[in-house]
Amino acid sequence: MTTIFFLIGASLLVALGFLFAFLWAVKSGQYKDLYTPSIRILLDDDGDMQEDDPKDESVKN
Amino acid sequence: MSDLKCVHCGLDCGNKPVWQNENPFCCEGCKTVYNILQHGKLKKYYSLMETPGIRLEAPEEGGKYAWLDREEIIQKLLEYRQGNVSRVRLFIPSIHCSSCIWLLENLSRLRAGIIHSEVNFPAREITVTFKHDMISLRQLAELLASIHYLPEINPDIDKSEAKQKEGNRLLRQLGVAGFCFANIMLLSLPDYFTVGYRLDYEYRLVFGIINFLLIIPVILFSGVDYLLSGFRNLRKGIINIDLPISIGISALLFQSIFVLASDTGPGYFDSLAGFVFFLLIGKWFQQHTYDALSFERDYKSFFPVGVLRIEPDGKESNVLLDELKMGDRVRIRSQEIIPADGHLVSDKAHIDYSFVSGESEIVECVRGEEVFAGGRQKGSSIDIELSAAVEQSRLTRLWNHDLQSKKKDKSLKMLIDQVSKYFTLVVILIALVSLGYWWIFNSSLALLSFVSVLIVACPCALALTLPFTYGNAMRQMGIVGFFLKHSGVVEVLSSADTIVFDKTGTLTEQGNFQVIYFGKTLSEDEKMLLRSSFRHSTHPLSRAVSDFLGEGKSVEPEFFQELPSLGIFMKYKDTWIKAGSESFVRNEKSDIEPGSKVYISTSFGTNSYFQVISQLRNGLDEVFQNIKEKYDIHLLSGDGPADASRMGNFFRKENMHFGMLPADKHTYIQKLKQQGKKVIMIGDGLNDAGALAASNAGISVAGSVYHFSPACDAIMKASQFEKIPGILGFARQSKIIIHLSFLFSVLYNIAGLWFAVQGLLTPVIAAILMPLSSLTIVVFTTFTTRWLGIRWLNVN
Repeated sequence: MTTIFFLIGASLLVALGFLFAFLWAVKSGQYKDLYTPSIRILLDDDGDMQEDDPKDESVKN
Repeated sequence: MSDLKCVHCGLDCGNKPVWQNENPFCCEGCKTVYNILQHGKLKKYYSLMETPGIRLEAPEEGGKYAWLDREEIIQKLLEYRQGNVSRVRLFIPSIHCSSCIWLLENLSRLRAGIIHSEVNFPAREITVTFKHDMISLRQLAELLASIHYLPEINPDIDKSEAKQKEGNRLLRQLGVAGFCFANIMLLSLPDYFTVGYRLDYEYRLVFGIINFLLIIPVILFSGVDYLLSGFRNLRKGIINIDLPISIGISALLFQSIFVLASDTGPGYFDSLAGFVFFLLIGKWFQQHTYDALSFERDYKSFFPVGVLRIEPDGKESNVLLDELKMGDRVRIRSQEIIPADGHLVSDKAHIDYSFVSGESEIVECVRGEEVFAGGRQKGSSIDIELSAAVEQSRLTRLWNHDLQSKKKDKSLKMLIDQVSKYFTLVVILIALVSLGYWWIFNSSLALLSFVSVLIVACPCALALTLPFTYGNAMRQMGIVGFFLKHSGVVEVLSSADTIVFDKTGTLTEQGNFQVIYFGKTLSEDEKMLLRSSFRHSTHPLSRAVSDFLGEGKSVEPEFFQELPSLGIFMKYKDTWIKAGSESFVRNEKSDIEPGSKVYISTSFGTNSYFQVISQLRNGLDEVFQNIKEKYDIHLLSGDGPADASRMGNFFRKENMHFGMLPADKHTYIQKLKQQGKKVIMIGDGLNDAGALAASNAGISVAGSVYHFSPACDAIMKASQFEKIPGILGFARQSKIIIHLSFLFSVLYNIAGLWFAVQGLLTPVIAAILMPLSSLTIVVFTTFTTRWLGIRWLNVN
């Protein structure tokens, strides 16, 4: 019986952890914009901005 | 037309492409941006998306953002300022693709002093953190403008901070309710599997106490808004959906606490938490809004925030709109809107009042003539001496007058409120009857059955029907470019029986003319001479005629003169051409069918005219074919009756009204409403603002939905005009979905009440019935609205 009570307590604690993670995410504004991050992740963060971009040809057409 | 596409914006380069290193540009502006990005090593902008650039119709003039140097404005705009670091959020309507995001988030490469920039794409906003000792707010705005991302800044508009906070609160409420619901459900489960015996005392006690602790935040935080609103409305004598919800919550709570305290059962804590959780999901689903669209613009958002004032000593100073006084002299730059009524000080001005009056022609003014607020200057800068302050101008007064009527009348009661009233009364009646019945026959069951009825008569399915049906409908309409202010507009659209159209800009396309020639056939040589003369004139009608005559051979006239608001005169060798208004060309004035006509008279004997009419939108025939039978349709136009015959194809004669001033349109709509009609107004400009506000549902048609549009209930992309019958059909049929959902809800309630009135309701039954009914509604409404979307709007 004590095992059950211990497990319930533990599961509640874990669940509370998730609840607070969610509340933190809301507070830090992560739910403000659900679209842009999905694009941002596809944009490479490469530092080298070479003048001769090979893809440049396609732009001219 | 050439086949060259501008490297920057992808538009056709026209006759005179601007070349640079074999790269064609449509204009100098695009070339400049290309070079700026080239130098900033931001060429990747052009490889992410093909020709992502933005073209500006008119070059920006310096000093447009000078007012951003003023301290009080900076204070208002900055979100954060500490030390030498500031942060600001700017609205940039022209953000449109992933290249934009990439470029704007790499602003720091373009200019030292910018620390970080982040784009919120759905809201079309950029948040920039910058060192204000290295780059000022004004310089930041100018930097954005220099790459054609014009920020639209209005310090008076609340940056929806409150709305954001409210949204966050709802999310938090939802999170808490979900957490509590899941845990209470788990702890309640063991009880449901014990048939014939009860759980051990320790389990009952611990589970009960934890459940009770978990329900506290659900009531006091997640569900408190329903309780308060239900109570508040009851005191005012209003019965809406919040009342049965409050009754349900209270009954569940007190019954549960009672059985827990008396150790007679597990209580209904799980049903209660689930109830609140599902309600909040519905609310959250309904809250969907289009962040980047503004449905409530007042006149100020149409005006420039800062105006260039010419002081008596000739110096220029930047002042804010509110500081303008009568007698001030202001400079209006090209494409700017005149902020207040006044007299023209410059020699000549071309003012486009289409936005204010709905008239499509550009008005030419000469020195001393009166100009009115709301007009847009086309051409070079002009000076104006104000004869009124901003607040006293004709346009502003009109706007404020309309605001009075904006308080929507209550005749159009929301469906849910009417239904809730009956629902509440019927439930209370059943509860009382069952109380009375058991009081007589078995008094031990009386109170139990009474409370059971209140518990099980769950308004959850009712409360979820509208948010999910209308919320889904709103999303489907958004896909095809029809954006609603909130999901309740679907209901208004579905019950409308009258549609009023504006003409200019709504049924006709702005700036797209159709030219018809009346008179004897022109030879190639005559055409060539006409072409040569018209192409020298900048008047919009000349432009239209010039386009009509097309490209081809032309000659340079030996003599050419343009007489303001009259016409043109040209001489070539021994021929002459006179073109323009009737009084100028023919020395007579006839009043038959006034309209946009360009008369010509030539030495080679041509005596005829061009009629210039604005082009009708595509697909008008089908649109009107479709809505003619179901709706009473009217036309209100600010223009003269020149178009009466063309419009007669669509409207009945008595329903067409021309020469309507904005105030006339407003009263017309009000009159229709007094006749008991439910009116949809479809318009576009400021001249329709009053009518849009007065109607039950105002729909504003906009070429670019993020730009100017008057206050309204829905904004629609002009290119999607032909979808109007589909949208109205969708709205009408969504009503059927709602009625079916209500039927489901009633069936579930009958099932629940069957147990309740007999006093047989147990927590298990409630725990099965409540989520089941809610889920049925959510699934049913979602699938059926999807299906309607495919059927009416061709949404995939």
